[in-house]
Amino acid sequence: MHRRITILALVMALVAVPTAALALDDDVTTTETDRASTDVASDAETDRHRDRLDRLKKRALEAIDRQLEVLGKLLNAIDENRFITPGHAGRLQGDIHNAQAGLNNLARQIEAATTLEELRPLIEAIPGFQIGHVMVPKTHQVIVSDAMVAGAGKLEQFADRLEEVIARFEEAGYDVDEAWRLLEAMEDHIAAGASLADPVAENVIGLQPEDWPDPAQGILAAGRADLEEAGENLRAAHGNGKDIVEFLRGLHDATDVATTDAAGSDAAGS
Amino acid sequence: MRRPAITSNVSRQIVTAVAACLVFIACAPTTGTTDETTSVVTEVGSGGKAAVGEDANPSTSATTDLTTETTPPSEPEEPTTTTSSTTTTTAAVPDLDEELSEFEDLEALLDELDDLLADL
Repeated sequence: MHRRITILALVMALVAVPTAALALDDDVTTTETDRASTDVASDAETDRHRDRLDRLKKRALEAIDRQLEVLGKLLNAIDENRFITPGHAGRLQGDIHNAQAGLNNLARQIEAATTLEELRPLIEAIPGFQIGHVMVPKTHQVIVSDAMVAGAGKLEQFADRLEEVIARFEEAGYDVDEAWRLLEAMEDHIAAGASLADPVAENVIGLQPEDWPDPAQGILAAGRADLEEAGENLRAAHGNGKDIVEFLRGLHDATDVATTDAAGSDAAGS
Repeated sequence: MRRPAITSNVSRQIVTAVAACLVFIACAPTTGTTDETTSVVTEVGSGGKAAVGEDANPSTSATTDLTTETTPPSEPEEPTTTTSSTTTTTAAVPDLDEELSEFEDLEALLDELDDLLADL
């Protein structure tokens, strides 16, 4: 009897375990199916997210390339300019190299970003370099300022030589009052041009991106106005110089005619 | 009673001689005036203006004026002097092209500045 009970229990156990195992397999299969469905939806979302991220990265990197291209042109403008002082050139080149390094570093961070949350502040940092607002105008203003100071110096040499020439005409007995008046006007224009242009370089060269809009905007606007007025003064000074030359040439030519006439009269008389 | 013929001839000769003397005397003052005029002209020619006032004789005054106007022959020499000084003046004036040749590039320099200003 006891043996029958044992055998029955074994038989029941042999039947029950596979049944339970089969039931468990059914549950697992159902869960995996649900999970697969969820994964498909998640992958599509991830793909869309990655596409959007890539598009934003591409646009950001293109924007950085454009800024780097502008900075390269500024470096060329400094290298090719014959008037800018070495000190000013060095300071501007330092600022430009720093900006290049900052933008290149930003580009690397953008490439490495994996989420929109990570990318967004990096993109917003690009305009912060203020290449167009600060770096470009300040570089050009420094170049023009130095060029105008050099131009004023050349005009001063021209005025000095004209002064010598006028004095020699005067010693020769010519009435050169008009030439002296023109020379005085010329020297006034040169002085005005130089005094307007000279301070601009130092006023703007220290401006940094964080100075935009204030005080950079006002300082750059004032610098531009001063340089334009300085240019007008130097042009006027050169005009005065040309008028002096024409005036002296007129005196000289008139004397030649008088001498020729006198010589002709003498020849006719003799 | 009739006079002898010889006496008559002598008287005629005397009358003729006296008449000749009178004619000579009458002509003498004219010769003296000519001498004076010559003297005045000589004085004026030597440069003395006082000679004009010393003799009121119209002929002397006319001669003086003529002498003054004749002086200008020295005037043509003045233009000659002026011409000479003008020649000297021309030589002292500097050659503008040579003196200012090093500033010929100023126009180009100012054009360059204008280009730079346009970039601002």
